Amino acid sequence: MNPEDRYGWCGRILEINLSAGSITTITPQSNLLHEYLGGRGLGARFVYDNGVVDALSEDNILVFAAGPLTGTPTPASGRASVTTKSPATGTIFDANAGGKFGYVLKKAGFDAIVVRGIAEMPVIIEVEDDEVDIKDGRNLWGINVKEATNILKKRKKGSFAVIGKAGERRSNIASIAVDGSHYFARGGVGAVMGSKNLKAIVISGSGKVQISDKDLFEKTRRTIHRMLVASPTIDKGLKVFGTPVLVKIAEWMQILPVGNFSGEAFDASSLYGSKLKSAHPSKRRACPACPIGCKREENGGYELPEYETIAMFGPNLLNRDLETIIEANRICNDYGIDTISAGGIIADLGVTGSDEILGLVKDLGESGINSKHSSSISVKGLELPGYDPRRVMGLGFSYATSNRGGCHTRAYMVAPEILKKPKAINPLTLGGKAGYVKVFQDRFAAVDSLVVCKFAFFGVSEEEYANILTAVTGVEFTSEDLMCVGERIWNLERLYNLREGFTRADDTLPERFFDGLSRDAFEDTLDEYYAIRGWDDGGVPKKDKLRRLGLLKKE
Amino acid sequence: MEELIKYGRKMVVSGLVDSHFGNVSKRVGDRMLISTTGSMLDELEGEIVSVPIDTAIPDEMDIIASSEVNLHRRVYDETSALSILHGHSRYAVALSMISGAGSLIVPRDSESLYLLHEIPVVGGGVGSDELAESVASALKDNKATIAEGHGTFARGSTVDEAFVVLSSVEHACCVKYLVDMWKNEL
Repeated sequence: MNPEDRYGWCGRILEINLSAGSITTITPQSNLLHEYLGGRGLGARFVYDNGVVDALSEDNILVFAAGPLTGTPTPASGRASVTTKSPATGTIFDANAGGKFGYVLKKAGFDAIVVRGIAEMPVIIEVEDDEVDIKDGRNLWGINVKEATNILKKRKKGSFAVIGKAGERRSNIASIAVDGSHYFARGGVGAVMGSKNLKAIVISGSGKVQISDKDLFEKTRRTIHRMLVASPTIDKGLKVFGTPVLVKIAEWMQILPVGNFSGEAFDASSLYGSKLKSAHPSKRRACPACPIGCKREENGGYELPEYETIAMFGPNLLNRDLETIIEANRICNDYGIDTISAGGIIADLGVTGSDEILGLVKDLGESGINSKHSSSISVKGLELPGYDPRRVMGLGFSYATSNRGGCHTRAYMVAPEILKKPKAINPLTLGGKAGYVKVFQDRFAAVDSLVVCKFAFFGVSEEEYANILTAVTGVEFTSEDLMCVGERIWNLERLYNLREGFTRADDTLPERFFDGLSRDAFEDTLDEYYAIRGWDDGGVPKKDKLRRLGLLKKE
Repeated sequence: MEELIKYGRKMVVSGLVDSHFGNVSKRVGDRMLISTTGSMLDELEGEIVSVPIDTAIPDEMDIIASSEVNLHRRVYDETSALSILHGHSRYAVALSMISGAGSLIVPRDSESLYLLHEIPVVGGGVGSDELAESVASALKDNKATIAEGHGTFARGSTVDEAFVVLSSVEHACCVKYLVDMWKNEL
């Protein structure tokens, strides 16, 4: 460990090569940690430096990473990310999940785990502080997420990253489950894990993350906590209903993904968050250090569906039956498949009946169907989430320009365009959205690298998190520094995708949306966006921009 | 809904509020229509939501309703008002800060004195329960109140009536400010 990185960061990265059966510990350079922080940023650097690989080959890597705030009591910091090349999109891809994985990873003394190679037979990686072992996992192969996690929990304490049958069968919509209830959901990251014959990672740790300035930390922590609990979006929304609070609002705004994004109207009143709350009494669950507690778990330990799942299995399939959605969610989670992509694929098949829906969900889990070859409503091969871009245009523009395909969390324009935070902006125009999307993309690239929950930013700005990052690490960070880190990561991801052959033509939306959106306005906004980013007309970062971000030497 | 859109625009055009700084509502049975948080009062089309008045019924739309939705609830719960308009009107804000919470602003001009009698200034942080309680209490006996350093809350049986009251408060505060300045009474 570099002595200067003993606060916040562990200063150690675990590297496991499953082909060779080797286990090594790397000491990262200080500038790597300071320039990329952790989580998504650290993962992006490793995956970029790994070169051009096939997603399901021995050469691809999986980078599980926490951030410098993970493991401290910083509010909303209990998350982790996994970065790899996606078999669904062919892009660089990071997925982000709650649960204890990141928290325990840091307690075990590591900032990240880099998994390389392919094991000869199914294995489990076990980490207990400095004790790291690759164990026989054949007895768990063929077992789905809940049961496999329960078996592991009986053997070991700690946190568990597990794939279900979908991951084993390399479905490119396969997820990785964390502790049986949180998911690295999108992009087929579970298929990459399955391709490595890696069934699970089990981590436990007894260490403690060191904080540089405890007084400043406590003062800032209290400020963040106070701002979070005072936010109406959190206090009246997420705490009361969880993410399904959005169903009624999305219906009111006419942005639900109705009938495979056909743009029709839909009465979603049977699917409101308030209906789910009254019909299914549940416990509120929170990730470590989180005062929000957005997850809902029924008796029996099954989590209730999030907004995205309700949107994709409800209006998207013209389905008003909440129970069907709850069951589809349960099946998806147990097989380890992404509910957004599953809903998108089933909608593309034109299925609307409950029995058919549930049957197809099981088929998706069992067969490892390859969604990339379907004609589902996607950007760069990733199915769109539950917001119709015709009426939330900045969000739609962020789908088009996302580095990981059709995703709402890259710029998280849900906040300003739907929930009116930090400031309400008009969702029905592309005017001004080029700059807005760029700033929000950079902001959340940094947030994903801290790794902090996006929901915190309904009540708090990057300024508070820059302050607490300074307190934790002892390294001075301003909010502008965080934005610069985010921009660096965004550009590195862009360079990866360009190297893979992506072009301006991929920064677009499915044709059907241009019945409501102006193609000319969209292209003009894309020109403006590239100019603001310091990219040329083809979307390639200019040398000056790369030099300023410290990326030129790596090219 | 059309009334709220119309009078929201009039509030801005009349200079009673600078676009974002205020909110409007109208009671409809056991629910109210209210402007969304951060909305521009001169562009309220598509920016008015319906929420229950009873705080015991949590509603999803609350999170995009005006951040002062609970204040509006409290007033509707405790008074017979059917509309509330709130604006950060300049002279009202200035006079409330000069007078301070707990004071009464007595208009100098005859029209305002006739219509409003006196205008109580109340305290409490923006969005706080304390402010909601103070405003609701003040509006039991008065047509309007000014939250110190924040702005005017006007009530009416119609949106039109609340608008007349809101306009009158600003007129009264402007005239009083000018006269008091002239007489060196500020």
